[in-house]
Amino acid sequence: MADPEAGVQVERSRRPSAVWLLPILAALVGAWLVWYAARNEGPTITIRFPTAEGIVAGETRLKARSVEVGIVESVTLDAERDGVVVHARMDPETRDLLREDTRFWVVRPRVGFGGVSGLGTLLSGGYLELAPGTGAPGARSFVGLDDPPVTGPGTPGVRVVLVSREAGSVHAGNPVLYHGYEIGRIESERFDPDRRVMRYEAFVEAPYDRLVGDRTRFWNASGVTLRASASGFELSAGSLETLARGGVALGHPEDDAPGAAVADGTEFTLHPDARSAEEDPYRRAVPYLVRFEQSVRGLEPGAAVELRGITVGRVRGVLLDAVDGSAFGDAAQPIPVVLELEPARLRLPDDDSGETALRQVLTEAIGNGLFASLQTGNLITGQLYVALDFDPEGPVGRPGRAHGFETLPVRSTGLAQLEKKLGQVLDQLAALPLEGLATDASATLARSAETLAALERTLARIESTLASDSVQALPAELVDTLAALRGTLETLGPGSPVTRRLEGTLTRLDRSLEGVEALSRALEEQPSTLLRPVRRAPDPIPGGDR
Amino acid sequence: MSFPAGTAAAAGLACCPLCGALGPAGSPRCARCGHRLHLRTPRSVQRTLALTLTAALLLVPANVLPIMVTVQLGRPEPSTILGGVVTLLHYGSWPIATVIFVASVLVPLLKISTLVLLCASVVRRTTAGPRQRTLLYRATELVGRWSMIDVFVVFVLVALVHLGQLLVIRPGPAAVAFAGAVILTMFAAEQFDPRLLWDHEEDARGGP
Repeated sequence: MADPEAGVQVERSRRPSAVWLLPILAALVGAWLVWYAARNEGPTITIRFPTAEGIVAGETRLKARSVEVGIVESVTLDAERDGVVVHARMDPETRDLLREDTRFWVVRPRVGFGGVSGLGTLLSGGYLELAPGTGAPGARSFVGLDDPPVTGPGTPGVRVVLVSREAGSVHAGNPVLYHGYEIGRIESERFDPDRRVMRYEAFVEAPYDRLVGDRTRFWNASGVTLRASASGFELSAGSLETLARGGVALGHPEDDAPGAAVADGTEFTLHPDARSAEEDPYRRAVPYLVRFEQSVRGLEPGAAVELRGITVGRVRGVLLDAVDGSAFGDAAQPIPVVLELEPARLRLPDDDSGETALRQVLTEAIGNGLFASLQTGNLITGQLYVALDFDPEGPVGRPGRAHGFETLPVRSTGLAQLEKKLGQVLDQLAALPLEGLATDASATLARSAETLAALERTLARIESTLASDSVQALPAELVDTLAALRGTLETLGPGSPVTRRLEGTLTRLDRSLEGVEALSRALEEQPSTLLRPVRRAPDPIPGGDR
Repeated sequence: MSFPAGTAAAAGLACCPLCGALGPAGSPRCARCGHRLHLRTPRSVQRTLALTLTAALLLVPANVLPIMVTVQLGRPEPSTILGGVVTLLHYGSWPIATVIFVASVLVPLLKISTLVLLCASVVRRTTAGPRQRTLLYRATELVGRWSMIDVFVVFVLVALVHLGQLLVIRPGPAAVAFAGAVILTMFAAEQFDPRLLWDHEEDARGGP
């Protein structure tokens, strides 16, 4: 095309260059990228939290099991200004994680007895953890949790409610123990202001959920318990772990079957310790009202009610509502105490029929002389229990009703009776005429003093008499007299002429007496000898003729 | 199109763009070095425009996407070019912020707009200020490679900062886009034949 002769012609090409493919390609790739991103953009969700602490727009991630599934785009105050709304952009493939019951919570560093968690967030900042639910998918608006849930939704097991009067040392996250082995966890704790009780939600995982039945008892396994009860002192402590962390134990009365399975949300009483759980192993209890005319100091709620030493129930408490304030002036104002008698303790069925049967039994027993009395169980602590016993002499009272309860006859016994008797003795003592006695005694004493003075004078006179010369000469005369007496006696001693003569006289007298004796014998045998001579037969010769 | 008298083209000679040897304008290759011989770079304006347009397209992701991801204790923190400039300004290091802003934002944009302007002037046969336009072109060509400073910084940091879990710096997708944009503008500047700038001026002066 270039012709040197005609001058060089520059061809101005109108044909588009292949290089245009480059921007077209770039634009296409860019457009595809934009379209792809737009198409795969995950859903936007809103989560409500009470506070945005630790949540930073554009930085805080959403994670499910530590896998990043989204990012917080913005954080705004909600319309009521009492919370925050977190807008988060989720990853597109996480769509089916967003279900009705999906739960969100902020992961922060948490240090507790249950362990340390979220330590990684100390430096990296918090993140939102997501626990996928099992409900209907498609939810886009959620309410965040304050604390991490203990168990994920859909975990097989049973969730029960434990009701406790005291908050104690049980907290969310504490283990639920069976014979010391962890079978579940406390999920949440809440104070119910209406019923004024603590409500704990406990979750027991499968397969241990079958250990939870309608006869299961729960108690606080943490802490050290020192009990002074009517049966003495008792110190009990859980394991070191539960001591430090707290925990709830469950068990069954007398270790038998847990009973029928329970539904989620069933309510159980959380006993303060194992003892009280054991003491309350039955569901049914029949309340009875007793009115003691003595101090109930030392009678605690939960104290035993014993029938001749066998526990048949426990004390529910003093029915203060029934105490008439204006009647306190009345000395006879009794203190109403409510007892709970448990049919199952008497081997009656633990249901309605058992209650009916127990009432019948008691009505009959009252007719046979049943009465309740306060007894001292522990002299040191002064703990009392209620004893039921029979009066062999017949009925003590009649069954009645008061303040909506059936009543039992009462008799003051034990310490109160002792007190009464002591009082009577003291009264009698006081009634003794001690004053007169004292007067008499003092008069007697005065007279005694006079007597003593007289005695003293007499003694002085005796002394002066003894000191006189005649009395002093007495011993010497006595010695002379004794010497004369000895001389006289010597003249009478053996070998002396008087004695010899006496001996000769006596010998003769003896012989004379022998002759008299022979005469008297002869006279005795033959009184006729006095008149005629005796003819004697010849003396028989032994062995003469045969 | 004719060339004014007194030029090499008018004499039917073309200068080899590589070795500078003059050869007959009709011959396809330089007799000395074998380089392609043209009076004017073929489709220069088209090529320049296409490459400039591509570069302009690439500048969009380069500025929108993060150029660098700082992973601090496992927590990635992406930063864009402009975000980095703002951060530097916050920390008070405005000289560095200025350098980065000029090299990474201003220069690419100025280059693209300059190239577009030059191409437009060629297409519209503008005759005014050929010297200024040539100056503009020379400046564009010269400054082009310095725009790579940002990419350079990013890749040096990526290579140097590797403190395991503590601190890791990774290049972002914008780094590739930005490097592509800079390279494309350099190519575009290369493709532009500055002789076109004064062809029309000489046409006008020389007359038909």
